[in-house]
Amino acid sequence: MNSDDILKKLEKNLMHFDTSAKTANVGTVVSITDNIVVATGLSKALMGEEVSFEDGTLGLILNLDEDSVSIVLLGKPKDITEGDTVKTTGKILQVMASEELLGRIVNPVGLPLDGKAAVKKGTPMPLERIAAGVIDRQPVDTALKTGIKSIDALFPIGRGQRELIIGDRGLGKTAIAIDTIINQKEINDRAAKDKTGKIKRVLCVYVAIGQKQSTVAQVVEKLRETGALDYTIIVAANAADQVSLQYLAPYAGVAIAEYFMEKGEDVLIVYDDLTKHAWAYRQISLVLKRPAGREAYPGDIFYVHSRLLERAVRLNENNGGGSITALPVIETQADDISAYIPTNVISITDGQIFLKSDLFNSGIRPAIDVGLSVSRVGGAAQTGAMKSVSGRIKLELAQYKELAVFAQFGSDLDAATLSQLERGKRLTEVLKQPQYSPLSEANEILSIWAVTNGFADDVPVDQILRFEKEYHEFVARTDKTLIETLLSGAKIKEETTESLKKVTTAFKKVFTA
Amino acid sequence: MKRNLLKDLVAASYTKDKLNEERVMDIAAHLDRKELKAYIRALRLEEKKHKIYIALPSLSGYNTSKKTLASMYPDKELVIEEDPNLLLGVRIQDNDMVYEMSLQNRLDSIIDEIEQNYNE
Repeated sequence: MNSDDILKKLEKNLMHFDTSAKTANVGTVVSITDNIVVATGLSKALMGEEVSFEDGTLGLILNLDEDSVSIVLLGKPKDITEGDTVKTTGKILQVMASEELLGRIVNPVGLPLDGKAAVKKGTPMPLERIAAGVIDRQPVDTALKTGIKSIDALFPIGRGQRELIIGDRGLGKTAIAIDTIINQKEINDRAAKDKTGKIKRVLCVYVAIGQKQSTVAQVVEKLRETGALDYTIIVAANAADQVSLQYLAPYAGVAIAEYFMEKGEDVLIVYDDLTKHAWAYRQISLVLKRPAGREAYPGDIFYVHSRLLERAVRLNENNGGGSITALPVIETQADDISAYIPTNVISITDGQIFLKSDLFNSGIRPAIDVGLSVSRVGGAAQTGAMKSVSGRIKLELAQYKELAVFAQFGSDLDAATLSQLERGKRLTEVLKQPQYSPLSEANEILSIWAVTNGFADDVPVDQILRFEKEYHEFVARTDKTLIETLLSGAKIKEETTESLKKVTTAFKKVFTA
Repeated sequence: MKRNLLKDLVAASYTKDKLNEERVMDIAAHLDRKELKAYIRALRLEEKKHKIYIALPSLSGYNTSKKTLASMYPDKELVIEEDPNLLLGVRIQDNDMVYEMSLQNRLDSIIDEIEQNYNE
């Protein structure tokens, strides 16, 4: 930029500079307890308005009473005492969003947590906003691939869907979310090469709520290692942060996601987790002396989550065609999905992936309970290719589960039942998948097709994963056209089935169990 | 103490828009510590409503603007403060509304603008 340009830029900014007299509505701090400030005055203050204290600390108005307001602090108070002045700012809470945020770790008010400079330029996005209306939306019709066989085949997720990940602690809920983020790298790389514009990239926002800093650091490291951080924004309000920040974190995350969605981008947002978010809101509400309801949660806890998750949307072409896909995470206690918060969020979302501890302990990972998991809208988004192979799995798995229970009572089983049991074992085995290794859709289809069509029936169960790995490598080496055909998502035709048979038979000749 | 009762006590503490010392002392004598605290707070708030706080960088030029200010707020008592930090101009506080028309405020706005737009 030359000197003329700099001067022109300054002049342009000067035109927008507001030199009029400033008016402010002020109040006086009456009390400060548990990071909640009660102040008198502020008669013109608005609900949800940002206020500032003499020491520079910011606050958010959460209660408007007849002659006082309750303010929740958004940072650690440096020096707020009774009698201090508090001023309204005329702004509702917002976060600065721009492309510069990609790859960054920020807190819910947009301050950097990664030691780099703050992102000050961009579009201010309000944290609280009414979700897009019915007219602005279109049905979910594009798949969001997780790279996890069992999810993509059985409970497909569409772009714009809200799919809950629910289960006890330590069962791999975060792992599913992180794998999904990592899997977008392959799709984004293909989108970058695709000249037809049919493949759209997916940007990701990971919202860490009330988590240990070490856990967030691990997630960041894993994303960096896999190259996924380049298209991911992390919004973190850790366990040691103000409870107000933990409450605001998911709203900040979705505000950033909306910025990209409005530009026509597809965004995936992970709320990890909404149980801690509900705890944070309960804590704030109790300190604000709001009436407590079931499990001491305030009466509006359902609305807190529903208004957040309603912002996950697939916009129609008139509105840019962008989308926000939400993966909220809920932690259960002793596999109890009938507790207050889990039932609330289950009823809000378009399906849930339920992880069960006994499956996890018996070595089935991801420990997805096929019976209790569901995807209500994703089926429409599944590609034709995946649909062709996944149709049989659910039925075969259900039959296997029933037969397996029945077979425990006797050993004299007919050949057909025995073969069904053996097939079921292999099907269960092939749906296992290690962490941080999402598969492309082509490889997912190959694995499922081979097992459901009996090509793995003679492979010992403990060799299935090796069979799968070598099979993928073999097909990648010998039949690239088949991979391309499967990746195109088109329904599997007869000639593709023939190619699949041919390549699988060829592989079986070289595979030694 | 109930809010309505507190309001009545505050109203009873005034005669002709002026705080009546005798009445205030009389009321205060009948209140316990907690009630007294609430009463003092309510009186302070009420007092703010009856006064206009005007801050000027120097009191030397006050006499020229006294009439104008008094005509702007005929029902209220003017409280004049000297605040050299304002540099130029005036700051008026009417109850909980503050009108900033000082050079200090303008300079602060410029600093904020620069900080927000030229962080590199």
